[in-house]
Amino acid sequence: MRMQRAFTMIELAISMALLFMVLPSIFYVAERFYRHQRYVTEISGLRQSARECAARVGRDISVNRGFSIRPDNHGLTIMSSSGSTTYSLNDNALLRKDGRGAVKLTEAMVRDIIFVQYNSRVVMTITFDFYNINTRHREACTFIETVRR
Amino acid sequence: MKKAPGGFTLIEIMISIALLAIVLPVAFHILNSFKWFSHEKNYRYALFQAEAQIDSLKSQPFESLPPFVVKAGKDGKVRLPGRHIIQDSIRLYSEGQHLPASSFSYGNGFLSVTGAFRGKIIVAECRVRLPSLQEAVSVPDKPPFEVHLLNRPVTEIIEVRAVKGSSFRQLNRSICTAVKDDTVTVDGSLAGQVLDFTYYGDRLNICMNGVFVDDDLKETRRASSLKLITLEQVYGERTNSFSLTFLKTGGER
Repeated sequence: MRMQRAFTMIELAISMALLFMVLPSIFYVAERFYRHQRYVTEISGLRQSARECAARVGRDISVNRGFSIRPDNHGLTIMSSSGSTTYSLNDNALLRKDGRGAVKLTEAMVRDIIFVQYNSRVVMTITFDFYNINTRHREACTFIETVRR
Repeated sequence: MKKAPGGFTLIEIMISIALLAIVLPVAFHILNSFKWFSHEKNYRYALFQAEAQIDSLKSQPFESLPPFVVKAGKDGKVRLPGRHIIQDSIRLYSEGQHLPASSFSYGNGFLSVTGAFRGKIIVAECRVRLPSLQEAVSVPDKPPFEVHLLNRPVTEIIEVRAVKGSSFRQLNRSICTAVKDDTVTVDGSLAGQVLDFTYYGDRLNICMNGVFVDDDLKETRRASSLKLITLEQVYGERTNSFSLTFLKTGGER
């Protein structure tokens, strides 16, 4: 006849001890996964912002008469028949100013913006300021985008 | 009473395997998401560099792109114009004939050919490693005067230029006082300025090679006024690559 018995105290104690050993690593992995997912989402968002900004500047350059890069390379002025449009950095905000006022190009904090013209190409280097959830520090994240080919 | 010898039952083993099968994919997924992320970052940088390289190569003189046409001196020595030529990739042709590897050697930028080929016109096909280009960075206003480059670790800085509006001014490379991984420390006198770096890094390896082609775009071993240039980029863990090809024409065409 098969003997019916429950777990002994020792068995339960061992399983609980094992569980407590394994649980922290499971939580650690889960937390890292969660943090990494947030980091990836954040960086992807910044990258998307960089591309949108570059596309906006590129569109303005292509439809207007000409452009000039500021002597310090931290801004750009585009000349059009109705006036001029300026892209510049002001208090961590990338602004597009024209006769109708100023518009923030991205909600992200912009640490630096550089425009450089190489032959016919105009390259925009944009550095965002963001909180890196992995390192728990504010960090810079740089993207290089071609504004005009 | 004698205790029955106990092992794991089939059910227990199946449950453990099922649990492992649930947990393992999660771990692999985490690992893969890290890989995908860095792969995508490298790919974007490689694409940017491809554009920059083609822009730069198109403006370079026909003679400075491989294959090079050189005339071996009477002592058999001649300087190849390319910088960072990959030694194993050199193939030489003279009057359409392939020169065996034993008939030449290459070192310190000089090609040395043996007796029969001295004084002859030689076509040198080779791969040339190209530096990362068109990367502008701002030097901070306050110390530490450190800038971060994208193709890391930085192995060699070729050129540093100060950018002001649309003008570039070449600087002495000694303004870079220290290079560590992606961080370059520059001289404090450059505070607040924008610098443009041309450098070699390990994350992305860019190579170019070229062949002469005739008017029907068929490969030829003789010098012609058409070169088919191929740009190869290898990035990440040396597993990802792509290549681009374009045609460069000589001056008289």
